Formats: sequence, C-alpha cells, structure tokens
Amino acid sequence: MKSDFVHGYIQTMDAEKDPRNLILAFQIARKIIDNFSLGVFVEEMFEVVSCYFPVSFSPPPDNPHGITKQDLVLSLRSCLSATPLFSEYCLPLLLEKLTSDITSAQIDSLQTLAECAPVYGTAALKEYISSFYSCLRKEVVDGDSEEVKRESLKCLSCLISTLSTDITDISSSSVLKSFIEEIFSEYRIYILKSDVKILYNASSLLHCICDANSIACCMVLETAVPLVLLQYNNQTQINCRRCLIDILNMFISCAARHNTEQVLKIILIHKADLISTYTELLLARDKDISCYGIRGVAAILKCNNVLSESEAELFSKHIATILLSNSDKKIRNECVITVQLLASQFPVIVKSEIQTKLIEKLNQDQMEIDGDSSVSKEDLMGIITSISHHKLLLTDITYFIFLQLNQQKDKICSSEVLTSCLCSMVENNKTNGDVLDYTNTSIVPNILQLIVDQYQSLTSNDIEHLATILRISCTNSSSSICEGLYKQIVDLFLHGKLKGITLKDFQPLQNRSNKSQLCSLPLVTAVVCSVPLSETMVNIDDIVSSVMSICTTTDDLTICEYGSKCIAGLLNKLTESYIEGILMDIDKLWDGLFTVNQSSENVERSVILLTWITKALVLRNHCKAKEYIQKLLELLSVDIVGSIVAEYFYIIVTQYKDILNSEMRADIKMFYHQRLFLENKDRLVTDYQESESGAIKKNYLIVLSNLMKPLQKQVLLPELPLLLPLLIHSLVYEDRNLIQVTLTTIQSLCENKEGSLLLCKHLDSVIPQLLQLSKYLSDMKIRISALKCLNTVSHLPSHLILPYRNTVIKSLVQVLDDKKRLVRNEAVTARSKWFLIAEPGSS
Amino acid sequence: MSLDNANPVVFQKTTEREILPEDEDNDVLDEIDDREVYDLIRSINDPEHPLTLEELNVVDHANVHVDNKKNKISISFTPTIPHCSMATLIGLSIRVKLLRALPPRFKVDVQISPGSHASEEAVNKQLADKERVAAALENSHLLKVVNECLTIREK
Repeated sequence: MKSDFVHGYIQTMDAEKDPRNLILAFQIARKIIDNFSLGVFVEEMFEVVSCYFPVSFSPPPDNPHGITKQDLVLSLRSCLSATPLFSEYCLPLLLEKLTSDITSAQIDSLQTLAECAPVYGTAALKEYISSFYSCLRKEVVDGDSEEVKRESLKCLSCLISTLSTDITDISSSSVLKSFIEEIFSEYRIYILKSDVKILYNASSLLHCICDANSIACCMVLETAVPLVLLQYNNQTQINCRRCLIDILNMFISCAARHNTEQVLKIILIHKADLISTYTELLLARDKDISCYGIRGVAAILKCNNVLSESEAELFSKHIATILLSNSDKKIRNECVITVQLLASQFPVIVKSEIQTKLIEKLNQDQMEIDGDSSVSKEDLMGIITSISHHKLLLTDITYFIFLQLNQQKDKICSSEVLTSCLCSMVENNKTNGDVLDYTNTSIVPNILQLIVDQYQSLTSNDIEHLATILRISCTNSSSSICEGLYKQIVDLFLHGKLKGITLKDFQPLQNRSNKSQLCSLPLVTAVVCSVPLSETMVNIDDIVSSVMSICTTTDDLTICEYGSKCIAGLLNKLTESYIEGILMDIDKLWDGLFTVNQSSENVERSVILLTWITKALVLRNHCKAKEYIQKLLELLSVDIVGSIVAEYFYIIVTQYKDILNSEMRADIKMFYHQRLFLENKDRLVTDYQESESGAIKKNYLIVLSNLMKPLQKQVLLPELPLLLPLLIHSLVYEDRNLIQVTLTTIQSLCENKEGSLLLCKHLDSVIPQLLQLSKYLSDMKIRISALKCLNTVSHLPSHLILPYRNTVIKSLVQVLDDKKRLVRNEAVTARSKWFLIAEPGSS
Repeated sequence: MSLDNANPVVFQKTTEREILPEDEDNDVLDEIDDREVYDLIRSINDPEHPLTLEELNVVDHANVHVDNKKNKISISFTPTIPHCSMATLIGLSIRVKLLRALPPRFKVDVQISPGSHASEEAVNKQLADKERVAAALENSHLLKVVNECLTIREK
C-alpha cells in the first residue's frame, strides 16, 4: 500500500495549476516525504515538485484568496529541502537557476540552496561546491544587485557551516580545506590587481567564510593574514594600501568575534608583524591612514589576551600623542573608542600613559597651548570623560574637577563643562559597582561640601548636573546607602548641619529669603524623591511644609518650579494617610485661584504648583485626580488665568528626566495618557464650540493638542474625523507650540493610509495654511516643519494634489531665498518633489 | 544600449555639511554660498550609472562659484570621458535642478570644464541658450530622463 500510495499521490499532484491546491499539495508532499519511504519513486517525487521551481506567480489584482508568491515559494522550498535523497537531482537544478537572468529566480535559488545545504550534507555538496562558488563569486564580485550580493553571502555562509560540521583538526585534509585552498588560488590574483572595488568585494567572500564558523575562520586566517600583510608592504598606491589595511582589520575583527583558542593562535603567530604594521600606521601623517591603524589596534584588543602589557603601553603612548596633537574629530573619536577598550583591559597603563598626560595638558598655561593650537581644554575634558570607565581612572580627574570648582577664578574652563563632565562620568559607569561605591563615598560628600562653600557661584545648570549625580547614586544603590544619603540631605538642608558641624549661614529651607541658596532645591528633590520610602524616614512632614511655603511665597518662578517638582514627587509616592492633610491645604489654593482680584504673579505661581500636583495625582490615578483636572479645565474659560493654565498644561503630559519617572520609583499607572485624553476630549470639544471669544477657544485647542501629543496613532485615528478640522483651524492662532503640535500631527497622518485619506478631505484648507506658515518670519522651526509637511503631502495620491501643484511651486519660489539655509534646504526638497507630481519620469 | 564608460572610477562622497549653532538662530542671515549650491547638484544621478555626479567626480566643490551680491553663479562640470554623449544631458539636468532650487534672482552659467570634452563649445552653446533649454523640456521623453536624474534615491 505504501509505495502505491506514494505513486498515486504523485499522479494526482501532477500538472496541478491552481495555487490554492498547490499550497496544500506541497504541504502534503512534505508530510509524505517525512513519513513514507519513497523507494523507487524518489526521482518522480522530485520531478513532480521541482517542476514548479522557481515559482513565478502574480496574484490577481485584489488577491481574493490571499495567496502570495512568498507562500508558494516557502512551501515548495520546504519540499525540496525535506530529504537528502533529492540532492543528486536538486543541486544541478539549483546550479542552473543560479545563473538565471531573472533576479527573483536567482534569489529564490540562493535561499533554497542555503536551506537545502545542511540537509544534503558535505558528501552531496562535494561535487558541486566549486561550481556553486564560481556562481556566488561572480554575483558578489561583478554583480550590480545589492540584494543578490547579500543573499549570495548568506548562502555561502550556510554552505561553509555545512562543510565544517565534524571537522576538528584544521590541518588534516577535508572538503572544506581543499575548497578554501581553491578560493585562495583566485584571491591571490585579485589581491595583485589594484582595483579597490573588486578587492573589497572578493574579500567580503572571505570575511563571510570567517564569520560562518571558527574552523573555517582558522583555515582562512592562516593564509589571509600573511598574504594581505605581504601585499600591503609591496603595494605603493596609497588608496590600495588603505583598502588592504581595512581588509586586514576586518579579518582580525572576524577572529575577535570567534575568540576561540585555535583562532587566536593564528593571530598570535603574526602578532609581531601586525604590531609593527599598526605602529607604523599610528605614526603616519595621513589622517585616514592613521585612523585605520587606530581601528586595527581596537580590533586586536578585542581578541582576548593577545596583547601583552608592554605592547599595550607602546600603543597607549602613540595614541596619547595623537590625542594631544590632533584636532580632527574623526581621528579623535577612533582614539577614544580604542582607549575605552584599552582601559577595560589595562586601566593602570591607560592611567599612567594617557590620562596623566591629558590632565597635565589641562594644567598647562593657556599661553603655552595657544602655541600649538591643537585641542581646546573643553575638548580635552570631553576626551578624559569618555575614556574614564574604571574606578582607577576616576580618582585623579574628580580630584582635579573639585579643585577647579572650588577655585574662585582662573578656572581652566567654565564650571558647567566641569560639572557636566563629572555627571557624564558617573552616568556612564552607573552599572559599575566600584565606581558607584566611589561615587557614594567620595563624590557625593564632595558635592555637599561644594554646595555649602560655592552656592553663590554655581549656575542652575551646575546644580542640575550635580543633582543628576545624586539621583544616579540614589536609584542604583542599596536602601541602606539611600537612607544615609537621605539623612545627610535632611541634616544639611533642614538643620544646616554637615558632618555634625552646624553651619551658620547655610539654611535654605529655614531662611527662605536667600535666593541663591534656594536654587539648590533640585538637590533635595533628587534625593528625597528617589529614595525608597520607608518608616525610618524622619522629617518628611517638615520638608513638605517648608517646600510648600517656599512655593507659595517666592516671587521667583524658577524656584517655584523647583519646589513644585519636589512636592509632586512626594505626593506621588506617599501613603494615603500622609497626603490627606496636605491635600486639604491644597484645596484652599484652588479656591484662591477662582476668586478674582489676584495679582498675575500670584496666579502664575499657584498654577505652576497646582499643575504639578495634578500631574502627580494623575500618574498614580488618585481619587482626587479627576476633580483637579476638571478644575484646571474649568479655569480655561476665565480671563487671564485661562491662558496661564493652557500655557503650563504641557507639564501634565511631558515626561521628565529629573522627577516622576520610573527610575525614581514613581507610581505611574499604565496608559494614563490615553485615559486622560479619552476622559476629557468630549468636554474640551463642547467647551470649544460653545465659547465665543477667540482667545478662550485657543486655550482649549492648546490643551487638546497637548493631550494628543503623546498618543499612539491607533488611539488617535478614530477620534480624528472630529478633531482634525479643529486642529487645522488652530493653525490661524499665533501660538507657536500649538502650530508646532498641529504640524507634527499632520506629518504623522500622512504616514499611514487611513490618515492620508482623512487629510485628503481637508487639502483645501491645509495647503494654503502650510504655504503661509512656510513664510512665518519669527520662527524658523515653524517654517521648517511647514515645509516638511508640504513635502509629505506631496506623497498623497497625485490626482488629489495635482490641482495645487502650480500654486505650491509658485508660492515656494519666495522661500527659496529665505535667510536661513536650513529652511532653504527644506524648501528645495519640497519644491523639487512638487515639480515631479504627475510628471514623466517620476516614479 | 551600450554604455559610454562601462567601468567608471568611483570617488568618495563629501560628508554632510555640519550644522553650526548660528545656523539654527533665526536672527542670523545665512548667505547662499558655494557649498550650498554644490550640495544642490552633487546628488543629481548620472544618466548611465546608479551613481551620483559627485561620486563620478563630474561636479566638484572647487568648480562652483557663487557671487551673492552680483546674483551670479558659475558652474563647470567634467564629463568622465572626452567623448561622453551624455554631456548635454548632464548639463541640462544641472540647469533644471538649479531652475527649480534657486531663487530667480540668480543668473546661472553652466559650462563644461575647459578641455575636458571633444565638442565642448557646441555643448556650452546649447546650455547657454535659454530657448533651447525650454524647448528641450517640452520634449516629454527628454523631460522624463531629466526627472529621473533629479529624483532623489531613497536609501
């Protein structure tokens, strides 16, 4: 029955044409091949399946059955790769189709070969491997299609993996070994020619083989490394030398990706030659060439334990010289990457050979440096920051930075550069336990001392950087360390005590009149709002009440914002019983806002504080949150207050790095943006329609656009038919934020089908508005966004936008002469696109 | 169709222009300079190869001169080989690109670099003749080829 069944099936399937049946037929065939013995019918089975290869099928226009070409290709491929018995028939077929003129057939054959190779095995491939390789080589070296090239390399990688199974010894003869030898006999010819493009392509084949398998990598590197080195030394043309070094670097990177003992052994054999070559490159005058040298050093460093300490020292010396004498950005970046690798393996050497020299240079007089005009002190600080990835490397530079910060004058660069470097170093290493430890024991105490001594000279950016360091320390350390830090902060800011000593004139939370002391509030926020809340935390009430009274009395809006953030951070996390009392005080503030006769300064202060508080409650979905939001919306219709509320409404939807985020353990409920939007949009739309004054209508639009900004497209789309006319209308109001949000929405609408359809209905009003905004003189960002929108609008169906073509082209002439280059660039792009609409030659 | 120059030498692309802080300041006036005009034409596609004029070194930064005060721009381009039959088409593409991308106040002069093409004079004359340029663009086949050269390839 078995063989009769197989025979019967073959007859049934023969000459089937319907794609629906074919998909099934291929699936059944695969099942039969897997579960039945094909016996004498191997060839018949293969014939009946393979006659469809390569698949050529284009579904009818509306594709009623949903069958794609890809479905057929994949199910046919799974039959061909089902059994090694097919190899003797299938491999010649694939070989023939590889040389096809049709790209899709070529790609199909390459993918099929890649899938079949591991099933058919080395023995079956042996006979055909040279022929396959010459096809692949032809495509990679001489072909023009990038896609075919990519697939050829993938296929080669599969072939090599198959050939390398079961090989453990690289020196004994094997199919793989003779195959690789054959490849090299050709490669030797390529490498002698000076055609850079061909050499790159030919080398990409070898790189692909290296990447496929570590055994194959050994076999290739054994010959390739000395060959490329030799040719590099013989070659005289500079662009060829460059290319050869690049190729060599890629070979070494391949070795580093495997990092097995066998592979590294080969690199070790040639180590001396490699090191002398790279040293020579590092000393070269041509900056491109020395870039390749630096990259080569990086590649060797990635190979485990290849470089000895003395060799690392040698390279470090050369790189230090380059860093100190070269101002080219590209070469400096390469150096920094390499030094980072060096520092992870040889921190002591990097410290003594590179960092010390850089810091010395920082200390030199400006006069001396002007002489060689190489690297500015800011750049030097930047370099030191990006290479310091080890505790050992941090000590000297932090000492230097604090020394500078405590100096009243003659700083080597502005304090902002110094604090931002310190901050980046801590940020870059926040997962490194040693560095974190160092931050807690040394950097943080230094920061607190610095605040006490220098609060008058630190800028708000400095404070922000220092606060970031405290925040990183709190969010990454254990709870006992956090508690300690919390205590220090309370002692310092509330009681005016540092290290047990009472300070006379530093009491920011008590003495609320000293503004420059109050500017250090972000430091309190950073600690108090990021430590995990626990029972042992004393004085929380005192902090809240002090900060609250600062917010309600200060006449400085920045300080009010600092304080509001602190209150918001705490209200978001404290337990219900705690905040109940606080909220009662807050209700009084609300009442104040609704009474008239307030000075606008008072109003603004209350709005900032209440908006932040509302945000804190909305995030944790507190029962009062809805009430507070309703109050804010109610205020929108009040004169003056309304516009202030609208102006600050962005706070509620914006995410902040320094407060109310998940790193600081804030209580954030999922989908709060969506909830906020869906709960309030109807009210906003009705209020908008009912209000009569333009100024108040604008307030509603601003809030609405803010609510829409963070939403996913899927949530927004169903609402847009209602909202889009409103938004387009908002383009007439002179409010930059509102215009900007609307333009972004229009831009993102064009990116999907439903959105564009919707937009098409409003082209009549949108396009003239966009053209007008492209000449919005007071803000170049708006001009740019408007032009970008016009550019995306040009992708809409051409029969709809064609009527506007001439108007747009004519109107943009003026923008071509805009005073800003960035605007002109966008105008050129947009205008060129509109020229091509419905023209011959446009795709 | 056989290609005039089947295997041209490919040159490196210039890096994108760096954006300086004053470029983003609405109150500073940026004048149209050599580099800006060069950026406009360097991305034009070659009619024969899947490469840009910059990659074939047909146009070069040094051969673009802008005089903003006198409203004059002069550009010379170098065909890859002296008998290149595409020279007129390349010149036409540069002209059309600038017609679409520059403010009309400029008088643009497009020429073949001296000594780089066999029928240099004839081509220069054609490119300088406004009416012949306009007439060429009436020809829909020619317009199609020019538009293809000017379409920016999406990568």
